[in-house]
Amino acid sequence: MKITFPHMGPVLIYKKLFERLGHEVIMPPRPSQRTIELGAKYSPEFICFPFKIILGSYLEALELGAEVIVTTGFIGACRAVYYGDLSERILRQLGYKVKVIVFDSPAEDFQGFLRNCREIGNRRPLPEVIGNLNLAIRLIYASDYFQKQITHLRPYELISGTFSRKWTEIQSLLASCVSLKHLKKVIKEARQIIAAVPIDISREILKVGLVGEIYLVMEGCSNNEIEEKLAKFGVEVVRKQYISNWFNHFLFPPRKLLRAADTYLKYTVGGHEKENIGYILEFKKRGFDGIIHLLPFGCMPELVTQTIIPALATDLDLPILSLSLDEQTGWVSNMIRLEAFVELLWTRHDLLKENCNGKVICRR
Amino acid sequence: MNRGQKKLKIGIPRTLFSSYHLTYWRQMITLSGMEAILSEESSKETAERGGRRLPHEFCIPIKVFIGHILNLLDKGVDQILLPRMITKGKANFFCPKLIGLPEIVRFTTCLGTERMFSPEIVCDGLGLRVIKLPDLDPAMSRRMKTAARQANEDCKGVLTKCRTQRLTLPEATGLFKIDRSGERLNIGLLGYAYSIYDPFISKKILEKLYKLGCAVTTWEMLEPGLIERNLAGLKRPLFWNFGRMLLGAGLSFIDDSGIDGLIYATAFGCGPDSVATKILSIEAGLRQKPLLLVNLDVHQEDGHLRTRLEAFTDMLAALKEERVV
Repeated sequence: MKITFPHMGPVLIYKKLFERLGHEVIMPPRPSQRTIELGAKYSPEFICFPFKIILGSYLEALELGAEVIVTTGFIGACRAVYYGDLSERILRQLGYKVKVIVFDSPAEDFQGFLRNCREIGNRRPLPEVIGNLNLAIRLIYASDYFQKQITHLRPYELISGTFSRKWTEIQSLLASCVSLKHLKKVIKEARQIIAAVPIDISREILKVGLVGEIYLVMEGCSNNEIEEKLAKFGVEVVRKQYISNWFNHFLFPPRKLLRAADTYLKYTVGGHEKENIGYILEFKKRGFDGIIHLLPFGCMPELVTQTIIPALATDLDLPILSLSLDEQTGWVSNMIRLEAFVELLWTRHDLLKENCNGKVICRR
Repeated sequence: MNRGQKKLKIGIPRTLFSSYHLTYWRQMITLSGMEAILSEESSKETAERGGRRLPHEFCIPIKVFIGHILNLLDKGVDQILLPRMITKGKANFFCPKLIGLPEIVRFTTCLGTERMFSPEIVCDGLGLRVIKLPDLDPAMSRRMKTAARQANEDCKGVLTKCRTQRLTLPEATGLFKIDRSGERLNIGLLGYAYSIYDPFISKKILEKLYKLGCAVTTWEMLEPGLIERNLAGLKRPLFWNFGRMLLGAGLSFIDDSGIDGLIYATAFGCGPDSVATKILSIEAGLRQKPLLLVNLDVHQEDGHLRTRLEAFTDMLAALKEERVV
């Protein structure tokens, strides 16, 4: 089977998993302007932005010859539930003979989950499948670990763009990994690569938390590499949403985090809104300078968060910037808003540091 | 409650959930000895007042809803009805914005929770069930439980009336009366009750269709069994309670040769509809059924809508004549 999947998170590792199970993998091209345009052309007008990107990347992968799409789903009130089914309908209508395999949560549909596993397992013996799955999951955890390291160190880099280049290097290193033993070696190598990058750790930086809709937060190509852009302004961007984190929360729901959000939103609405409120509260506790909240235009759960955000910002005395993104890729207006936001954070930072009550200071 | 004591005034916003279950709420509140006060019909002002309080990308029904809340506060009600919409089971999810409604109201209008009357409810798209009443004294909650039972009966009665006499919801509750003279076409009209029966949001689409000589069929005139049967054919049924009723009704309209064409009226920025209309339009395309998608927004001008409805009905009439010849 020629398999493809949505471009989300560490795609090279998914490729590796499917290849080791004996499938041919058509890599979804990294979403570009063309992907978004293609997706927006065939999607319903008011569906959320991530669907448009994902549909666009399916279309590009189908052009390259993919036959089967593997994706995840769940049961809930968010539109993400229908991504698999809706994209299959649209692609069929366009004349592609494509099959979409949707992995629902095993807790909700165990039979369907097993059937899907058998299909993806490609008649390989069970221990081999589990071994490959184990390796893939460990690789995902490793990849997320290094990504966290890199976003942490990026604002300190002396030559701008070094870490982004090293990140691609590390990704291909991880993707070349063949066994758990090899993984240890690879991790060591990756550590050395990061340690070798020249940095200036004495630099003064700001810390900003990134929360919002999971696809926009995780995928650099959908948020125009907001982490790299902010790093250039001397801002470290911290986010909690990674695939590994998603696994963890799926297995062990973060009760403490959700309980902290209860004062603002008692019931879950359907997406990650409660977690996001919890993250904002946690970031405040850790002394962050500000929060950036990303949501796709018209996102149903995140709009509920957005109504709560003004109250949160006042209660916590924390600047929060909400950015709503869609297929209009002109990024200049957002850039101006980000610059203004960072400028405001610097002023606040200086005022707090020098403890001059109310006196206006200009930084530069 | 003592006789001498003043009756508690509960405000019912006349949109969103009460467009579906106005009878239920009004009966439940009045029968349990409180006074039900309805907000005024929505107008341009309602939508504008509400829209100013919300992030701009919210859908029109929520903006109108906040306007209704502000209107009720002007009227000096004691509490406002804001049911907590809970999901139980697989197929009765509310739209996320409806689930978060008490929070949206709390953070945009600064209404304290003590002024919200929030029973917890579940709904399967037709009737609704109160699963938890707010904390009240025992006598009151007993009275409210019997009132709820009675209200449920009345609510069911309204839906049966819709089905047997082929009436729309507002017609069955007597809020809306129109003489239907010519019936040259039979149109399947789809859309949430709070959009297509709201005089402001819908721009009186129902009246316009009647004036064009059309008979209108809506989801409430269909047997629930028929709707479910159509939904069962889908690989993944819709999980939103109100949305799935519309999709099921739409799919049965597509099969029904007595229906000449479908009109789906959706509000700008409606999330569930973006999925449902796509599925419906693909199905309608496959089975060659005329379908008109109308996007309603806060613009006052209704000339465009009239032109599109006229063009659509003329086309359907021509198609019908062609078939006869």
